[in-house]
Amino acid sequence: MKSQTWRFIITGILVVLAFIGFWNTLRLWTLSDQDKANMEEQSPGAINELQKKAMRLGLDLQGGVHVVLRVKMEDESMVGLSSEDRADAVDRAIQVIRNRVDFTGVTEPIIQKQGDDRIIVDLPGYTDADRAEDLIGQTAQLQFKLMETYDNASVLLAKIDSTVSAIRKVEKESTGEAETKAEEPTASPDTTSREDDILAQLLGDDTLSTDDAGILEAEDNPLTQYLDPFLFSSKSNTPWPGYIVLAKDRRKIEQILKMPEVKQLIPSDIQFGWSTRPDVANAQEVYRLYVLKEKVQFLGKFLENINLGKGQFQEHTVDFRLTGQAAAAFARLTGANIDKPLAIVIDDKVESAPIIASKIRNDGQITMGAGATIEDAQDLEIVLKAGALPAPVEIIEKNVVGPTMGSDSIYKGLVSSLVGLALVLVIMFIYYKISGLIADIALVFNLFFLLAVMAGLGATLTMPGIAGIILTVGISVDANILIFERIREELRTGKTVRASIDAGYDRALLTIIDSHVTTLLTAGALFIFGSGPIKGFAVTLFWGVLLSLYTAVVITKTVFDLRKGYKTLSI
Amino acid sequence: MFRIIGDTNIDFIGMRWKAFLLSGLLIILGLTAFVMIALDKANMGIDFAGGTMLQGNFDQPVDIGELRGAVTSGGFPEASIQRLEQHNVTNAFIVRVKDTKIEDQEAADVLIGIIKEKFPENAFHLDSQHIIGPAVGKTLRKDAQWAVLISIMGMLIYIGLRFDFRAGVAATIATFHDVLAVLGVFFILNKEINLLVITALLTLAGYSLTDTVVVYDRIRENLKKFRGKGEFVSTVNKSINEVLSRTIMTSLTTLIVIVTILIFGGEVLRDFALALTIGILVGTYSSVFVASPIMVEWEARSPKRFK
Repeated sequence: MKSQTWRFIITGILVVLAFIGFWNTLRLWTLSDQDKANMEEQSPGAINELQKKAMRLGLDLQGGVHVVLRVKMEDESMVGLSSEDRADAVDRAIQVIRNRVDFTGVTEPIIQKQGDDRIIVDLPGYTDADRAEDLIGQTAQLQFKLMETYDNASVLLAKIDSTVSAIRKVEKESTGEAETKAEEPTASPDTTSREDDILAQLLGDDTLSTDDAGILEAEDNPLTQYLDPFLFSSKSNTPWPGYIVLAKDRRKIEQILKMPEVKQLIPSDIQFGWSTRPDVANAQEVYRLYVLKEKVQFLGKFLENINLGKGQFQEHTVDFRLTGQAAAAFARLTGANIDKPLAIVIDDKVESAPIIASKIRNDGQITMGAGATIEDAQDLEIVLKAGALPAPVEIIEKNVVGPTMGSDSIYKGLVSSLVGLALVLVIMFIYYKISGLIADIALVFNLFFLLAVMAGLGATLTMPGIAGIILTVGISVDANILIFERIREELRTGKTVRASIDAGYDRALLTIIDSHVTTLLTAGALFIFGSGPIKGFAVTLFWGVLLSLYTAVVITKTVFDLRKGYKTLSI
Repeated sequence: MFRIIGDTNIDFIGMRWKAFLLSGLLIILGLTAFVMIALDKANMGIDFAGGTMLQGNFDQPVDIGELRGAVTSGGFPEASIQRLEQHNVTNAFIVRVKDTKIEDQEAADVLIGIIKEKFPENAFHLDSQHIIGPAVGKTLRKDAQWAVLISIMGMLIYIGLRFDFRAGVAATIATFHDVLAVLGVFFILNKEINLLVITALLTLAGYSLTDTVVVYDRIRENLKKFRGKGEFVSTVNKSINEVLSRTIMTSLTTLIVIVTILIFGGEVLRDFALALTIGILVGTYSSVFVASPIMVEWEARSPKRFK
């Protein structure tokens, strides 16, 4: 009787604890969308608070972005650093990314280090993968640079043109020879090539007549044929080397600029820069190519009070303020270059190159380039506020779970859990009658405790985690099956009901512990070595099986012991 | 009392040579699959091999053959495309390829370009994507290997401590047998081996060992009870028969929940549930026909009482 009292007390305490652990989750899950809206209206942020206290849903269930970044240790800024300095760089990168993520307002982000050079970023509920990638992945090194003069740039471009066209001619001749050689065995190579020539001429004439740049000219201008200078709205109308390039031609230009012969031609103090994003000119998607002076005139890290603003034509801007020596330096820079463009370069891409109208000392403006949206401006504001990454990073894993897949997974998880649970409850009742019903009660306790532990420990529920819960339902009745089969055996040997029940529990206990330990070992190994979703599975399996030791053995025994004298047993 | 099976007296041990033959075949199949995985010739999931997974839906119905044709001829000859049954949208598909980058473009962008070009009138809404670089795949593979190694070592040590060395070895053989059998079946069906399948295999190892432990517990108990009275073989047979109803009931309840996941759990959990379904069937068989007969054979060759 004494042990019976203790069992009641302990179970009672566990139930109370479970209710406390599960309370917030239960509240959140039972709220309708309307309730949530009402709640948000009455006290903003209350839902967020509740969500923080409730069981966390994995990215696979609620949707979101999971990104694994690798800090590029081979980058020039990292090579030669001591291992401590490298580790420090990774830690600083994490801090910068955390700041950026905080500005986005994502609740409960996870940003952590993995191994030596990897950073995991989880953004629950955030499904705009491209934007997340931009925000997290860009180094955001902001530099101000001056543009090369139009004349110098033209000379360089002309040199590149002549070099490339010379190379191409040589190439063409050699391949042309190869072609003629290859064609020799065919029936009449001469006729074919003559036809080709005529065709080429016709096409050439045609192009020449409709367009200024014909095939002949294009061969002489492999680079400049794609470049169309655009106007900078300066007072003096001086031309500057900024060019419009059709988006489809960008690859060709990049290939030319990558050629080693071309790289040699470009002086070390000149650099080419593409616009950050495409925009539309003459109803076509275009990029802008700038010829810049390599020298960094001013660094973005001095900017303070960064905020969104509007420019004189209502375009988006990111406004900033400068103080102290930085302000003096910026004033010198802008004062000396009035009526010249100042290129705003972020990670080697040109955001824009506005003309300096007057000397700027304290309050500056970064004009967003053509085609920029308010989101682009917001993102720039965020990365400038959060600072630049100490080293470039690359994305080595990206998992985006959209709202469709997330809600479908929840639905399927719910349906399969409920169906699985119902089937097991029914089978246990059919096979073991009232005793089966007692096992069913224990099973419900088991699930309740399991969810409470998950919520209380702040564990994350994932889709494999739901599978773990369902599996727990199947496995945890095993303890009761072992006990009941044992009781049946004892009954058959002619023992009284009471003696059979006690013997059944006694004899089955060791087997139950043995069999559960093996499952616990598996769950432990999966937890240690598993990644996100697998960890979720391991956690539910571990706690489910562990808790079933109590519910299936102690709780059922407590129910059996409620009655002292048994004449018959429904089993 | 409702009983599926009454008191049985089946000579399980007598059937051991037939069982060994069948199990031998399963093990050979599994080892073949294992070697193929080691040689990188098996169908590894993108989480191990690296690659790109896209999931989205079309506005209008789309013929899966047409979609497959467009993707495979667009530079992804090994692409795997599946129709997806979702409760909230229709015409949903999953596309998996082993690439993450095509030259300097992301494979995902190339794929979307191909799909949009093929079905210009039928909007495709990208919902989810998973891109795993080869380096991450390597890490996950290494972690999976460790998880398998550690959990099997742990089980072996536990069984060795609780029973004896022989029982530990026999139980481990039976467990490996089950894992290899499922791996072999997956290989034959050309099913993808991914992280969740490995998880299922480990879970299955734990489950199968549980079954074996229950039988061993009974053998030990009966050996104590009938010390000197009976032969080892008949005691083992008796023990298996005594726990048979438990073995079947537990397998049944576990199987029922797993089949529920198989049917209702959706694409994500399908292969996981399939591996467990096959595994529970094989595991139940092996705890009866493999684990104990090995002990019997061992005992026959060098008698030494089971502790």
